[in-house]
Order: sequence, then C-alpha cells, then structure tokens
Amino acid sequence: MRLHVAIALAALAAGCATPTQPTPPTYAGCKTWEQQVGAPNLVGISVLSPELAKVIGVQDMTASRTGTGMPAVQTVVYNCTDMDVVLQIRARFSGDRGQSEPSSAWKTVHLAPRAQAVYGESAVSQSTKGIAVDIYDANRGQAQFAPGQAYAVPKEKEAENADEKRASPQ
Amino acid sequence: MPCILQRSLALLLTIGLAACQTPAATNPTGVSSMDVDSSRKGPVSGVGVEGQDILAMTDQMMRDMLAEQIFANTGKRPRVIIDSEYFVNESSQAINKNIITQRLMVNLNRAAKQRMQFVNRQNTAMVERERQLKRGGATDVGTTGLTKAQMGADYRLSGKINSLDSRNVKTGMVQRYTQISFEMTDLETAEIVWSGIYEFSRAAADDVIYR
Repeated sequence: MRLHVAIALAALAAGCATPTQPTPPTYAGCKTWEQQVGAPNLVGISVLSPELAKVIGVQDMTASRTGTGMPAVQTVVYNCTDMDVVLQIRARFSGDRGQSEPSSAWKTVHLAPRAQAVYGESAVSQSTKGIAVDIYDANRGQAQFAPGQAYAVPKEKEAENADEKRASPQ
Repeated sequence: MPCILQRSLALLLTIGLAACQTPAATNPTGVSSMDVDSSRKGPVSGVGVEGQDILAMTDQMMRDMLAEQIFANTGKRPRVIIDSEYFVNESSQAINKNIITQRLMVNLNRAAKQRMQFVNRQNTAMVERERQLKRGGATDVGTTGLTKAQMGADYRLSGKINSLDSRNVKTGMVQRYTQISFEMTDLETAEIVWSGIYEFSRAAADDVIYR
C-alpha cells in the first residue's frame, strides 16, 4: 500500500515538473545567431560559444575609418531573452600578409534583457584590409584540456554514434 | 599440500596488487600549476582589478589615443611622458600602478613610434650621468651626437583609480565599482587634450585577496 502511494506521488511530481533547458528562452520573432550563421553581411563574425548562439543575434557589422585614418569596425549585438547577457568581444585585423597587428583585447559588453549594444574597435595599423569579430561568453571560465581527464560526450555526438552503429553491418 | 599452495597463491596475489598500486599523493587537495590566458578571467578571480582588466584598459586607451587628432601622423611627433608619477590610486585595492602605465607605454611605443616621441622622465638621472661622462671626456660622444639638453615634453599622462564598495552582511556578498580614468595634459597650457575611462562593477562572495 505504502509502495503504491510512493509511486503515485513520484509520478505526480514528475508530471508537474517544468521542463528545463541550458539556455533561457527567446522571445518570439527575435532572430538568434543560430538562425543567422552564413548571412552575407555577417561573414566576419564568429560566435564562439554554442549556448550564446541560441540567445543573442547580430544586427550589423560595418567597417569605416577614424579621424586619423585608422580602420575601424562597429557591430550591433542584441539580446533575444529576458535575462541579462554579458559578452566579451574582440576584433582581429588582417592585411595582405596575414595578421597586421595583434588582436584587440576582449571588451566586456553588457546586454540588458531584449536590449541591443554597440561594439566598436579601431586598428592601430593602417595596413589593415580585413576585420573579423569574435564574440564570447563573459561568464564562462577558462576550462583547459589536459591529458588524462574524462570529458562528457555532447548529446548530438552520442546520437550520431548510435546512428553509425545501427548503420554499420555486423 | 593444497593448503600451502593456496596460501602461496594468496600471498603472490597480495604482493602483485601492492606493486600495482599508485603511491599516495602527498598533496591530494592541491592544484598543479597551469598556464592561464591573461586576457580572460582566470580560475582565481574576485571583484577588483585583475590581469584581464589591465590588458583590456591599456588596449582600449592606446587605440583611443591613436584615433585622436593631436596624435595623427602629421610629421610633428609630439613628445609625451607616460609613467605612473601622476597616476594616483584612491581605490580600496592595493595595486602596483606601474603595471598599467608600463603596458600602455610599451604598446603605444610599439604602435605609434612614427607618430609620437616618448620621453623617459623616470630615468633622467641615468641619462644625465651618461651626458656628464661624455662631456667630461671619460667616454667618447657615442654615435648619435650630442644635444644641448634632454628632451622637453609636450604632454604627460596622469590618472586616478577609484572604487566604491558595498557588502551584504547577511550573505557576505561584496560588490565593487571600479573606475580608472586617464588624462593627457598639455605641459605648457595645462589643457587636457585627451581623456579616457575604464570602469566595471563586480559582485562575488569568494575569498579572493589581492596582493
């Protein structure tokens, strides 16, 4: 009898539990980076955190020159969620012979819920021809690879492996 | 006889297992040293100015200064002094100010040698001693020639580090707003010809101490 009651309570609790996901939900109509990847006006932009790609978007990236003739870049990023999002953004400048100067330092950009922010950076070398922008999660600590450690297999990879096993002849 | 055999086997197994065991770590709770990317938050971080802030603020100020019209490539090459002599720390955090001004000077010097001249005022005595040796005949005059005097400067860097702390006594949570301002002053007219600011707020309940 007790066992039946316990099972019934557990089933009820499981039924009532709200499903969760690792990223906050986005509001309707907001185009996240996941849906923007490959857009012709955003080819110089990389969102390095997969979770971030589900919550932010990039409106535009424009290149110009400062008053002293230095190449500059400006990017507008926006938040598709109702949570505060903190980003780190840097610019990489390249010339005819590869990198024209070291990458800029990471700049912290705060995005209020559903808000947008502008990131801008200028080069220190006039030989700059190309500009790329990296966007990263500011609250992600440094997790280093070290031999001898065990790493969790991502869910997508697990499914892929299972499909491969099923498809391969025994 | 079978009993002796069994005992011998058991003994052998025990010895074998003991040999396979890894020796016990002398400091099992310790963390071995690791190289950390100084441009990003590291494993030990608190609410104050940290390595990634030094990199970010000096990079930001350098780029901002180079975008300023007075430092444009006009062929004049204004003379500037960048050191910590007039960089004041009024914040609650103990910090070596040289770490900020030195990185700014090195980065500017590497990026803008063609556009501005950097005057080493910190080592005036060192330069003066060598000048006396040359003029007294103790050494020859070198290869770059003599000048009437050491360089006079057009602009000098100054700045302030300020902070505002708050603490929740119930949770132990600490929040700090830090503001680091930079100014470039005309050494004839006292006009501030450029200024920049780097500011951030951080909150944590960690036991991090800055030394």
